[in-house]
Amino acid sequence: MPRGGVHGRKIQIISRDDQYDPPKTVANTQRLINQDKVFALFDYVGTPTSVKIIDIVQEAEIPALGFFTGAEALRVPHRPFMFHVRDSYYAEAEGAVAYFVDKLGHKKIAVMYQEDAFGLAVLSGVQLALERRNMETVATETYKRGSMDVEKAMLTIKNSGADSVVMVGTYSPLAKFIGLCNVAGFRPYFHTVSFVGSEAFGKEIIKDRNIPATEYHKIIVTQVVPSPFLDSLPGVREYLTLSKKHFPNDEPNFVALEGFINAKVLVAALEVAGPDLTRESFVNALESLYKYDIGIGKRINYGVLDHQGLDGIYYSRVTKDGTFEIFIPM
Amino acid sequence: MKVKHKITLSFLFIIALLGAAYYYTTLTVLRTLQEERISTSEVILAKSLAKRIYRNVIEEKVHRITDVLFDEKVLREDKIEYILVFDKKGYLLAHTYILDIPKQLLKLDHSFPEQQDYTLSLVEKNGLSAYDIAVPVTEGVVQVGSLHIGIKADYVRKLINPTKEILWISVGVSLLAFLIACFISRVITKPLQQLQDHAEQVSRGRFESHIDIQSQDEIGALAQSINTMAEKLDQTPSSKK
Repeated sequence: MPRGGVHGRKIQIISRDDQYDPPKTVANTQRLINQDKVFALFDYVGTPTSVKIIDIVQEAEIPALGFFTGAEALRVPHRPFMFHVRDSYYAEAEGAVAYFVDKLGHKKIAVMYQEDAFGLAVLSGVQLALERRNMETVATETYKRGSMDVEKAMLTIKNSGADSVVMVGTYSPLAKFIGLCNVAGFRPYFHTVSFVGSEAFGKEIIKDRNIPATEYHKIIVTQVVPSPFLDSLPGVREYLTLSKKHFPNDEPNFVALEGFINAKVLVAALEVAGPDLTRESFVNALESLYKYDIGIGKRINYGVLDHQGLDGIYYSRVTKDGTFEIFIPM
Repeated sequence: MKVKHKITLSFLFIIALLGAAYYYTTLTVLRTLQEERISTSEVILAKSLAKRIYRNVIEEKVHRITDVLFDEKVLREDKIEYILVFDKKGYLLAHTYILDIPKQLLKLDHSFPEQQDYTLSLVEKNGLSAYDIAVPVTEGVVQVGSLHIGIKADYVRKLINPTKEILWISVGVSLLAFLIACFISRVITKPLQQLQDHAEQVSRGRFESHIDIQSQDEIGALAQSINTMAEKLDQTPSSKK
């Protein structure tokens, strides 16, 4: 945050934890608007949680910015008070399919997903991407959210002989799934979307003795923000400096960087909105941000009918020490 | 005032009276129907909601209750104005308002008369117009709270609508009644007019003139009497001068 606030106004953050539990998201949001009288909603995490507040935001006409989810349901149809920074799961799914099919020449793509709104959101993204190439998934299998029961899914997908597997879920069951595949001698490429939490995912992978280091490069995570280690970018450098100062125990990570980028967009809109800040002027300011530079390479592009700021994804893969490195598919 | 107008006016008065009675009856019947409708399906809705949340009310799991209330409201946006849940002390636990809660809703009554498992009242104030249905939230026979659901008055009105058809029918019937009134008053007063004209003639000494009214009623008899009178006068020597 710029010292002294924006146009003399300090930003007060009221944070409430919904523990990834959709009913809590609803109750928290009601409280934030009704009792805390917030100016705007910011940085909601998750798909099943965020979709719960669509109607509330619409009715209260309160701007909501920077959702940590790429679900299409939050983007289409267009909603006047909802703004996204990161690109969608559809874009991540398209990116994964483009890499596997167009670059590596894979013919068989399978999907293993968590059985909920998040899983389905990515699954339909993959299906659309394959459809554009006149292909379809060779196998799809689910597992229950919050469980580690991926054995059955592994068997189905192994039997399909997939060249690459798109996985949707949280890091522990996904790492276990990769381990099981390797034990069974099934070694396709693996992919998952940015939501996984790459650092935790990476640690889980190197911990798993079943996954040989020679397979690491075949574990791909599509990212929606640049690498948090890329200090040649002024925006990332700023993040690293501030993070080191205020959270010295935190390792730089994709999720924190995304939160930082969302905050940069928020501040940019507040600055453009000027001293006479209203919700309307804030929304107008966001919509006016075009080719706006926040120092991360890509520019922020909004429009009256375009409420997604950052377009495009990055490819990352696991390295020997369990971190993720950004790479450009050749 | 002419007799013709007197008759027409009396008819008009009767029509207006009947119309008012008709309107009042229709309105009463409709209101009864509306309240009946609410006391059946909408009270059932309130009761089933109360059943769904009673455990969460006991455990004060406000977010679970809020979630259920919001889901229900979004599902029936067309009819639900609000849903409120109070604990047994009358403290507001959860509700569906995102912005401010209208003050009058905080003063709602949560008591239930004996032998009655719901109450119904009309909340009309500050732009809010809804039927408030209150049901107790119970676990077995113990009341643990109360649930209020506001059904939009507009929704109920539209549902059982005193449609435009009824209005048009009453306008049509009134118009017809008015035409009949005009016709009847003309039928009655036309021979009276003729009699008046004839009496005028006789008074001017034209005793030979004759009026021809064939009706078999008092007017016919009167015409006959005037004819006879004129004839008698004609035969009287003084009248010839």
